[in-house]
Amino acid sequence: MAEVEALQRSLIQSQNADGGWSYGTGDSWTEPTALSLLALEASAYRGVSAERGREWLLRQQQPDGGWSPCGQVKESTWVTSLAVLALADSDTRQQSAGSRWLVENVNRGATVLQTVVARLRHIPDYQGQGGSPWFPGTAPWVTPTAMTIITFKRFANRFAQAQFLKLALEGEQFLWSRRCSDQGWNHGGSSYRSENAYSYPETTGAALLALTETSAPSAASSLGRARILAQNPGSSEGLAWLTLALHKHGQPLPVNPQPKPEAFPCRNNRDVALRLLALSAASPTNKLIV
Amino acid sequence: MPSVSRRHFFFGSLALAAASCGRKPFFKTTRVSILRAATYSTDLEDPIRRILLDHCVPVAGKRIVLKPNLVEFDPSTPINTHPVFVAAVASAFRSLGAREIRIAEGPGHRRMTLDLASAAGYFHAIPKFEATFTDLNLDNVSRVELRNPHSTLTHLYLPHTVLDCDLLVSLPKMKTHHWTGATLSMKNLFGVVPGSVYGWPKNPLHWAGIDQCVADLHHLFPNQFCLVDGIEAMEGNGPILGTSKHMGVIVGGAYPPSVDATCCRIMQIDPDRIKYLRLVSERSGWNSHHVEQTGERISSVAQPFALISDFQHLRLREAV
Repeated sequence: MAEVEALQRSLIQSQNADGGWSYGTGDSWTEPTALSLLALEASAYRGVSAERGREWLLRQQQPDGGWSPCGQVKESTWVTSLAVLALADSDTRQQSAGSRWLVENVNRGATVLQTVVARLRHIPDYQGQGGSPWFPGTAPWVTPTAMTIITFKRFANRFAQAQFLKLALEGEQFLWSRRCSDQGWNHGGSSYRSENAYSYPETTGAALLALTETSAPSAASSLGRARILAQNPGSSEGLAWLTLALHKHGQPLPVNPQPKPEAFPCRNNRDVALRLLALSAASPTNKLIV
Repeated sequence: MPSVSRRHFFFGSLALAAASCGRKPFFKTTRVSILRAATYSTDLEDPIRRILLDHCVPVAGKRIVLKPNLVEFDPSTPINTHPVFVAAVASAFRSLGAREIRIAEGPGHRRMTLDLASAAGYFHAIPKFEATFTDLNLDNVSRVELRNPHSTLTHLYLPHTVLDCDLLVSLPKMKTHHWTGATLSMKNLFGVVPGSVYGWPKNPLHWAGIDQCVADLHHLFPNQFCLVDGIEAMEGNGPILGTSKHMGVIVGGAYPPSVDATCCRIMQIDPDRIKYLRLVSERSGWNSHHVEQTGERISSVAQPFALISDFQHLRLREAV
């Protein structure tokens, strides 16, 4: 496909000299690098760019086993899930340390002390057992939980470890608990003072991509919401996540009206990688489809 | 006459210095201007330029970063700083000789910043918008240490675009906020904290104390000017799910707490009950009456903003 080759070229040309990818210009960051590696692999790219990117990613692993967002930041964050997923299956030691970091940062529910502190500081609802945070020690949200679930499921499939499947299912329960009243997902805040908050295309797609149909209490209504959102996904990112999610659940994109990719241009390297992953939804090497 | 030894003088001086350190520093009055602007279709550049000239804002040859409030887009409510307002501010700074003007924002919930800006009309209203815009969520960052913070944070990673500018211009929308009471020029600086490090939303700021982080960010950026879009404001369950309220005002000033205190009074919210303003007051010696008001009188433009039930205690009781 011409578009796939054009997107691959775009990624390869925008790779930094150190092997990583920036979001647009400037320093290499973990997220666009991991997504670029996932996209190149899913689209059957064979070349040196992927190996250079993988080496950059391996160099960024922190002593605690996780990955920080970029070289200037020392704290490991949610991007660990993408880094672990993007590494080659032969990088077992690094993936194992990364998965341990992810397991340690799954929310176990609030302690009494945390609940008291949260109330005193007027922090939005901390109840979020099974979810994952963007940043360690804070509340869980939809996108990092979805990416962690996908990583855990891949590990469960690869290593047949029940712990990962259990954690993935707990993550799914968290996602269902944060569903909006319109049956989609937004960033995932609690409903307190936001009872009428509406869902977003991109987070609805990411959440559905992580969920397994059989575990869904009412997946049909959420897939219906996703099909409505796909008619006007609002961004290249929204279209990509919804395409991936609907493909995973065996549903085609809406045909009337058909979302037009040209109406939602890729704004940065992350968008290019996500578009490439969406175009490669049927690929057996697409690690986002578990 | 009692003699004073060098030792007594030394220890006396030390005690005096210690006592002085314990007192809040003297805080001079800061100016805040209120100008009327009935709609976004009137000439906004002229009143904004008048505010900048009245406040003697150093613009010529400077690198200016305009920081609007761009959160989500819903055509039925005024969530974001209006793009026509931002365009008028950019024109005013350009006419006064700014060397470079960048528009920069890092939305807190959505990642597709340029698509949000497009939906909100920024591409249409602002010439060459994409070339002048920086997504602060995706900018390169540096670590900045917090000295004596109000929050539990010890440091923040902040985008180079705002760290390197000569003047950061906060362009908030006048809105109520369901966690802090009001979101104005100070709370608007949450948008400079990068989502690429802290997430969407920037939840570490919530955990470290929302009001405390607002105060910390204020101290990190001493070179600011504020221009509040109070033409179409938001009341009720802001900053996203509230309802529109026509106010027809622009509020400007160089000291963010004074600007925000004035806006609070315009909204008939008691600024002394807004926690982040109290935090600044406790630390700096500033108080919400240290304001020299110019332009319209507060009483001539003030209207009570609807407040959610948890924030009824914020209602201003004194006459404005």
